This record gives sequence, structure tokens and C-alpha cells, in this order.
Amino acid sequence: MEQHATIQVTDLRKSYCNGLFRKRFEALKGVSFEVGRGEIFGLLGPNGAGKTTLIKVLLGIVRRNGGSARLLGRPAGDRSSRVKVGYLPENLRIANHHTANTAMEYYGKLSGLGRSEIKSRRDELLESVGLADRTRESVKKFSKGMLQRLGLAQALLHEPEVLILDEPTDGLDPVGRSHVRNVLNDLKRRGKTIFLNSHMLQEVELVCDRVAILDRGIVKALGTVDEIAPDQSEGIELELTLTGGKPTIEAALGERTIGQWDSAGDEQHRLRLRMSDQSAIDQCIDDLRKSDVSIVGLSPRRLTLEDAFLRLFSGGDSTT
Amino acid sequence: MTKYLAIIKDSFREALASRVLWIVLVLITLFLLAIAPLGYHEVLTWELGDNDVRPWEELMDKVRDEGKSDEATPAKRIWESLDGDTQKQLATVAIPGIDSDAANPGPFFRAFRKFRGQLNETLGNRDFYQPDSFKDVAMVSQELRDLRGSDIEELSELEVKRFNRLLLEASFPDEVRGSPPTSIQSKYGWWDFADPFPLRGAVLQETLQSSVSIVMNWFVGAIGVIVAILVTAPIVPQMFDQGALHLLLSKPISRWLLFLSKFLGGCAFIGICASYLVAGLWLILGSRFGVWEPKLLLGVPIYLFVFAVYYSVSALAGVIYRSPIVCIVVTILFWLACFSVGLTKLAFENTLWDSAKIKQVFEAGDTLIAVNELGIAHEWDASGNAWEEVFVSRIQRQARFPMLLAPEARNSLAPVGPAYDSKNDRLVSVQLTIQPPGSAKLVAADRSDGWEPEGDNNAPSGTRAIFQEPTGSVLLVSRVGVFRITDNPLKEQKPIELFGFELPLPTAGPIENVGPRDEDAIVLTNPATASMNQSTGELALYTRGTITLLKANDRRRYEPFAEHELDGEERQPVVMALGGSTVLLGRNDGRVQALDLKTFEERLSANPEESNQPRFVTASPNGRWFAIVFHTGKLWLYDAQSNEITQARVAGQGDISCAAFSKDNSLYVAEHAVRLSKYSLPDFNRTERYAPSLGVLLTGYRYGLLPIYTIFPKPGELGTTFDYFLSEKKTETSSNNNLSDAQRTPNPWTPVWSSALFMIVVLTIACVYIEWQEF
Repeated sequence: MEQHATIQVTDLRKSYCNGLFRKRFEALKGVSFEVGRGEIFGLLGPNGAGKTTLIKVLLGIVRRNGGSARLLGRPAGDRSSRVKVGYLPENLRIANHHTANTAMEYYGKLSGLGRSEIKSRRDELLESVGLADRTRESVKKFSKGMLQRLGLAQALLHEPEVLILDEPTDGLDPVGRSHVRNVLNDLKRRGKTIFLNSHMLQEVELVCDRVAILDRGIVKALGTVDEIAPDQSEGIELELTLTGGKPTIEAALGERTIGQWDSAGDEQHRLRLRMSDQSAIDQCIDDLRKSDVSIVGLSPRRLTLEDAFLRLFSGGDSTT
Repeated sequence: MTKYLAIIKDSFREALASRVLWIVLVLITLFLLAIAPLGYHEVLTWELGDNDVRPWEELMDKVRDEGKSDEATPAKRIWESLDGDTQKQLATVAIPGIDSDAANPGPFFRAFRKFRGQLNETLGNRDFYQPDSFKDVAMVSQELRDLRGSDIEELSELEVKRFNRLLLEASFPDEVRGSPPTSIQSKYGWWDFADPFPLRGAVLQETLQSSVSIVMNWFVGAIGVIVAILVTAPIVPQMFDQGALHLLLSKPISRWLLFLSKFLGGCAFIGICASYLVAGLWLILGSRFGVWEPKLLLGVPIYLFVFAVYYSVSALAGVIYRSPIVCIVVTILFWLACFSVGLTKLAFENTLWDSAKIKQVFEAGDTLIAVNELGIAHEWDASGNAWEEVFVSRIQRQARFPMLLAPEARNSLAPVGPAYDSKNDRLVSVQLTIQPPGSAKLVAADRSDGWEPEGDNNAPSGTRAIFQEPTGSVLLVSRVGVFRITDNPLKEQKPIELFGFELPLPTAGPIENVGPRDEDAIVLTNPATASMNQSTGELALYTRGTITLLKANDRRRYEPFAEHELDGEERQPVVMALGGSTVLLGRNDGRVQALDLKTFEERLSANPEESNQPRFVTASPNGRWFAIVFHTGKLWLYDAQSNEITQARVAGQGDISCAAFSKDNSLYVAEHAVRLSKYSLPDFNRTERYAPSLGVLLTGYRYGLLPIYTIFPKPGELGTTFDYFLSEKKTETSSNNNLSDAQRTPNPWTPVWSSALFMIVVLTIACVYIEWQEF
């Protein structure tokens, strides 16, 4: 356990009462993890897993029912800790009467900045998120992606120590995502702590140092991407592009487990196979060649965070 | 703090970005541009308009009748000034209400228009005034006397017209209305429109201020607030949009201060509109009418406060329900609740509480008589601990219902008196009949008959007061003279007969004119009042700025012996009491003035209730004490011996409706509508107390409805507070002629504190809710 963890969550519990009969619903059921200083931490999970609730507890928007949550050494929700936090909410909404400039001014002042500080940082930040040429335009005309980028810029305006980003790349095009990725990497270089809540597993995989996967209020997995990705000892997944008749190929492969089979016409096939080791791969190639099946392509496939995620939520129990 | 200022500034920015705001600003601009060319200039009052003669029929009839006589009279002088055609038309036309054959109004209107036109032309004649024709006219007005003293040839054309107009006013006081020297000619740009309006300079300012107050009440207090509520209703609910709220709550700011800042920011809308409208009105009034009244600018904070009260309800609904529609609906329901409570209270107050208030008390032999605002006399029943209605005439029974429903009718329908005739153990009053309208009857009742009123004798027209002389006789002071009741008013007067036929002529009745003689005649033209010194029998008559003192000569006829002109305007109403060697005056500017009866030297002048007006003044029989009851319900006592005025140390200050003195110079004080206490002076020891039970309805009003109304917010009544700031008067007058007419006394501060308290409670609930709620 780190001595000076930026975020420290221990056995955190939170429940809501919903509906006419105030039925109790447990959103967080004893969540524990820590985020170290300068770390980019990803929080993953399906809808309803409790990700946004966790962020709300950290920011003091809702009160916890049990356990503890600390942010920058202070109890979560404490106003002094919020001074050092930059937050980009999911589905950010900025009032229509704002331009990018006035929105930055407004949120900057709410974060405790003076007018001169805001002016000195505003242009640079808007440029970094790709909004330099839209600063005087009403946000009414902004697309969702532009709003997200503006939201990110306002979260960075007061140079926070911790950034809490809820779905920061949601609604962004590839260029926008790249912008955000660059900003995050830059922040990481500057030693900022980033708490990322996202559905975009590839994005998380690309930028996060550590990841927690939350499911129905419980942490299902916690660790680095490599730690969470499926164990390579279980075999190697091969992707094969073959030319030949389907019955011939099926006969050549025999009892081997075929993961996925895509055909393009009668002769062109792409399939995935899981092999136990290299000798099994060699034997498989030999069998295909003996049956006059042409091997157009062969590549081993690395197992990703998405695979781990899917395996976790498709019934396989691999809680870390 | 800058964080919260940023939220307020953001609300301003939001308001400025609102299209509705700009539409409202454009509408206000158009309104200001439309009224900006309005202005006025003063002109001498001379022309007789439709409303200056009431009724024209009677004047025409007089001119027609007297035109035929040989005697030189004002009417004859008018007749002579008319051309032949008009004379012919006037002589032959049937006048409605006067001639029985006036079925077709067409010829009359033609004759009337011609007569009026000729009369106005006549006013320009330098030779209209012929001393012989006007020799019997009482020239009361100083302005008229000054003009008469000038050389007519040296007067300007307008001054001649003014002089002739004043001659007509003095000659026909019943028909031709008195007028101020100058009138207001309204103009729009360079265009004079409408007839000149007879308004005095000081009244103009008051009228303009009240007009502005009405404009503000409607444009800002009603329409402005409704528009603002509609426009600002989404501000708080919008704050709860998930994407916006979570970002705000993540900032290092306090939730309740965030809410309050949003609330204050929401007031920006009406702040901008009200400031613009009020500043515009203020500039127009200043530049076009010369009324630079900085207090008008108080309209901005006051109407901002009105809005804030409604908006606090809208904001609370927004916090709880997060829907602009619900905010609007809840605010409308709140407005309806305020309106209903206010209206119910007003209805109960007018019909029950105010009408039950005692406004006159006197001792009738061994018993006490109290008269309420409806003019109904009550005798104290010690065994039942209650006031029992007595002396209720048929006229009063007819008038009771309209008087209950319309407080304004009380001033005109309430009887004069009653007064107690100790010689005959009798109550006497003068009552105006409703059917036929306006006929004055002398009504009397003896104790031996159980105070059952009888008598159908006519009273002198325009009777203003009834007194009992020290000799025991009852005096009636009417508009045209002083009359003494010389015969039993209960006795039916026989009609005048000629050759066995009854003549439709009024009988002389049991009254006798006792002065003043013709050459000293005093016509009590409004505003007018009268008072009697209970020990010496001296009378003081006040009319239009002049006090005349009269006393009875050896033949018991009243003759004037001193006259005094009051400072200030001629048409000011006063209340007056005569006692010992003092005349005590209650003035319409709130002044209490004690004058020496012989020299009219001012002994004391004070404004104990600032500019609030006194309603009744009464003198003790020994002439030492004078009680002054103000419309604010406060009682002050003037001690002629020490020449000091002090607030009376009696119960119920602020709720006192009348005060009177007993024969032994003790003080009766009526308060709490029907309670009466007797105090010995000067120690203010309460010696007697008459406290009947209020009854179910009055108790329900006093201890049920009134407390609810008191604590209930009254944003709609904040217009009263604005009026108070402008006029500095706590009362609202319905009459400019008689200070004793009841005035409404809404407390200007009650709507402020009750609304402020309500708003604080509502905002506190919203703050606690937002602080504890999870989002």
C-alpha cells in the first residue's frame, strides 16, 4: 500500500433507495483500491457497474454508506481537496449562453482562479484540445465532441493535481480521441494523476497504467493491463487465412477447436485457432499443407484487455 | 466570494442572452418613447367645462327664472349677457328633471350647448361684473376679493375671465364648482389635448406620483413579475441537468451558496427591466413635469423584492421537482393563495371589523351611547355586558346594507349625530334618505319611548354638525346657516293648506334659523367643519381656509365676532375643537395646531404622527384637555394648561377609533373596535371599562383570520409600501373634503416583514434540501 496514494478507497459502500417503495439498491459493495501519484488509472465496467457512483463519492456529490474514500489525503468530498481536482463529467452540458471563452472564464472562477490567470491559460488549453479557432463561438453550435474537448479544457484550467474524467472520449472522432490521448500523455509526463472512467477499452489499454474492472459494485479485476489480460499460458491464438475447400480444411484440422470462421466465397477462409504451444502450430501447418490447403496468411494474435473484459463478463470467473 | 459573484454574473449573462429580455426591453422602450412627449403647462382656470357645473339644469333653470324678474341678481346678469336666440331657446326649452314635459332630450342638449358656449364667451366680458347684480354674493375667496379690488381695465384678458369665473363660483356655490387659480393643460409634444384640468401644483405632484405608482404596480409589480417568473422558471431546474450539476458540484463551492447565488442571479432579469423602466419614468417625470423625486427609484428594490418572494417559491419548487412547468404552476398557486387570504381578510375587515368600530361616544344621562362607523347608535347594557342597538331609523335600516358592502358609502350615508338633548332626554340626528335620494330628515327619539326613532321633519340642507348649547337647546349647523330646534321634532308637522288644499311646500318644521344674518352669511362650502365650545356656547365654523367664530347675542342669534385665515391652500380640510381659550386644529399635513381663541396666535404646532392625518379632535368641557385621534389609531392629548402634547398613556394605542370627554373631564377611549375605557386625567387611571364579547364572526376575524393574514406573505401589497415611501402617509384617503371620513390604514411595513420572513423560510428549506440531497 502506498503511503501517499492520491486516491484511496477502502471497502466503499453506497446504496440508493429508488422507486415508490424506496427499494434499496446497492451500487457499491465494498470497493477497495488505490491510485498512486502520477498514475493513470482506468475504471472499467458495464453500464450500472457503479463507476459513476464511485466518482460521485470521490467528489462528494453523494455520501457514502460505509467504508472510506480519501482524495489527496483528505476525506472524499472535502472542499479543500476539490480545489485540486479537475473533473469532466459524462454527458457534459454547458449552458447555451456561453462561448468557449466565457465558459472557461466561468468555470475557472468557480475553481478559484483570477481573471488574469484564466486569460493566460485559456488560449493555450483551447488550442491543445483543438478549439483555438472557435473560442468566440456560442457553444450552442458545438458538436458533442467539441463540448467534450471544451469540458476537458475547463478541467485542466486550474492545473489540478488529480483529473477525474468520466468517458472523456465519448462522442469524439478518431482525431479528437488522438487529441485527448496526447493531452493525457502530456499530463502524465507532468506527473498528474488521472482517474479515467471509460467504455473505450482500447483507449484505456493505450493510456492507463493500471485498471480496475467493476461489476455490480464489486471490483472484479485490478492491476496493470498485462496483469488483467488473459493468461498466455492457456495457449496461443492464431489467425489463419486459407485457400481451399471448406470440407478439406475441416478434415485437415480434425478435432482442433476453431474459435471463429469467416468465409469469403467457397475458397477463401479466415479462421482463429487456439494452440497449446509451437509444436502444435507446426503440426497444424503440416496437416493443412498435406491436404493441399494453401496458407495465405498466419499470425499469432495478442490477447487484449477487451478479451479479458469479455471473458470476465461472459461467465468465466477470473477475479484477480 | 468571487466564485459566487461569478455565478451571479453568469445569471446576468444568461438574462442578457435571453430573447425574452430583449423583447421586454424593446416594449419598455416603446412605452417610454410613447409617454416621453407628455407634458403640461399651467393656465388660469376660467372655462366652464361639463363637470364644472353640477347640475347644469339647475343653473339654466335659475337663469331662466330670474331672467324674467326685475331684480338685479347674478342669474339675471347672465341672462342679460345671452343673445336673443339663446334667451328664446332657454325660455322655451323643457329642462329634464325640472319641467315635467321634458320628454325629448334633443332640444335640451341643443339649448344646453348654446347656453354653455355663450356663458363661456360672457366670461371674457370686462363689463360682466355689475356691483348691483352681485351685491348679495358672499365673496369668501381672497383671490376674488383681490381681483375685484383691481382696476378691471388693467386686468389681462385671462385675468378678466378668471375674475368672472370666480364671480360665478361665489354666486352659485351649489352649482358651480370651486376651482384652483390655475389649471393643468395637458400636452403631447406641441399639441394641447383635453380640457384644462383644475389641479393645483402640489396636487399635480401627488397625482403624478400616484400615477407612477399605478404604472409601476401594473407594469413591474404584475406584468413584469409574471414575465420574469416565466423566464426565470428554468434557471434552477436547469442547474440540475446532470451534466451541468455534477460539474458545478465538483467545484470547491458550497452548495447552498451556489443555490442562493443562482437565486440572486435569477433576480437579474427583473432587476434589469425594473431599473430601465423606473429610470426612464423618473427621467420623463423630471424633465417633462419637473418632478425630480428620487424616492421613485425605490421602486426598483421594492419590485425586485416582490419578484424575489415569488421567485423563492419557484426556486424551491425547482430544487424539489426540477421542472420549469412545476415551478410556474406552484408559483401561480402561491399567488392565488396570497390573493385569497388578502381578499378574505379585506372583505371581513371592511364589512365586519371596520363597520363595528366606535367612532362617537357620549353620555346620555346615566347611560353611555356609542356610535359605530355605520352610524348606528348603541347603548351600554351593563347587565348583559354588551352594546345594544338603539335609535335605528327606517332610513338607517335601508342604508345599512349598502354601507356594509361599500365602505365609501359610509362617508355620505352616515347620519349627522346623534346628539343628546339633555333637556328632553332625547337623541337627535339628521339622516339622508336613500329613497328619495339626498333628502335630509330630522330624526329623534325619547328614552321614554325606548329610543324608538320617529319624526319625518325636514332638516336644513347640508347639515354638518349637531351640538347642544349650554342652555340645553340643540343646534344644527348646516351649509347655509345655524338652526335651533325650537319645537318637538317628534311632533308631526301639519302641511300648509290653502283653501282646504294641501300645498306641496316644505313645512318650516320645528327648527328656526338663528344666524348668521344675511350680510354675515357664511356658506359652508367643502371642505368645511364646525365645532362648539361646550362651556361658552361659542361656535367655530371653518370653510375653505377661513375660521369664523360666532357667539349668540342677546336674542340668541349667532353673530360672527372673529375671523382667521389659515396658512396654506384654500381647499384644505381640517378638524377642529373649541375649548376654553383655545382652538385646536388638526391639519391635513398632519400638523396639530393650538391657537389662541382671541388673537389666533399660534401656541403650539406639532406633527406627532408625522404627515399622517388627524381624524377627530375633541375638547374637554373645562377646556384644558384636547384629544386628537389620528387615522393611524393613535391618540394624543394636548394640555392647554402646560401647552404640551403627549401620546396618551392608554391601552390599545394604534387601534384607537375615537376619544371623547365626560362631563367630569375624564377621557373615554374606544379601541379594539367595540371596547371602551374611561380614564381620569392627568394620571390616566382607568376607572371604567366596557368590554363586550366580540361575537363569533368578529372573534373569528380577530383571532383566526387576522393572525393567518399577518404571518402570510403579502408580496402583492408591497405596492402599498412603495406608496408609503412616496407619500410618507400610512393611511389611504378616500376623500379630500373631510378629514373625519374613514381612511384605510394598511401598515406599510407588514407586507415587508411578512414577505421577507416567508422568503427566508422558503430559501432556508431550499438550502437545507440542496445541502442534504444526493444528485
